[in-house]
Amino acid sequence: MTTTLVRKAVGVTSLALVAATVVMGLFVTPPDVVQGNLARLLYVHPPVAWVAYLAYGVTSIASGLYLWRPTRSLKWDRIAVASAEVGVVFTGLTLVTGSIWGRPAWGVWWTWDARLTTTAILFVLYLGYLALRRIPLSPETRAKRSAVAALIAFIDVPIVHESVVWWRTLHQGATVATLGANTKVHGIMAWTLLLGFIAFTMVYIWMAMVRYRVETMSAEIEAHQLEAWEAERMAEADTSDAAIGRLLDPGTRAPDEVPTDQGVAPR
Amino acid sequence: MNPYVTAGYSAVLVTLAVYAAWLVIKSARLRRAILKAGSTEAGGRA
Repeated sequence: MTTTLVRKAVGVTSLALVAATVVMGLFVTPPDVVQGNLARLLYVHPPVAWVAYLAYGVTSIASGLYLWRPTRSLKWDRIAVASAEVGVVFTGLTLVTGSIWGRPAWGVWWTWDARLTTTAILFVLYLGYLALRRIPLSPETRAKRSAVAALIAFIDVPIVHESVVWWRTLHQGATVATLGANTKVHGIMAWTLLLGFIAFTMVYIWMAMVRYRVETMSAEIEAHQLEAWEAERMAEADTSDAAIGRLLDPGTRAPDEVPTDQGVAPR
Repeated sequence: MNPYVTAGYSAVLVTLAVYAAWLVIKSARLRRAILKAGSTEAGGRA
């Protein structure tokens, strides 16, 4: 009951914060001196990219906790998949919003720049993680293999983040990390960016909570179906045993077999 | 409004709205299925 209330509160708050970000980003903040109105895209692009990092961070922590014997529980596996799926959605949005910004700013929708390429690899790696989970296996085997895959995929996250430092890239360097006392960003622009980060983080929390619930209920239904299937097979096995018993010992009749004088059942 | 800005915001909002709707619908369906299974079991036992 408390969880439901928390989930609802997070949902309503995130909706309000996203609405506020959109209003601030589109109508309240001034246009940028260099980029003009195009800079408004930057109130959503870095926040969605941050959420993707956060989601994969949670997935790798949960995967590590599953692999570590003292904390091994399928709960961690469900948290890992819930967070990874939301992360894939946000990585897709990072690529799309970046591409939409890149067309007018750089003149191309896509370029094999280090930041863009490593982000695309990240997207494919976690799509692979989700595909791996579709292989029919026992929950424990699936959880173990997925956890290993998630930890391997996470290696790309620091590479994506540092790509603008390690290689000469078209993509700009770290901007948010350099926001400080000497920054020349207009106050309301910086606050709107911060609002965007908080809003999309709240959206991530809500989505991960609901996705976790979906995963838990799916596991419950799967277990229930397995029990029903086992019960059915057991009943079938009992019927077969009884039939074999009658074949081996013809004196024994099933209750529904009515004996007749001529051995022919009456019409 | 700059068309690229409109496209960017629309992509984010529409994608998140569709994914959120899918999550809510899926969650409600599973909940119904669990409740139905529970009531069938209770009926069977009675």
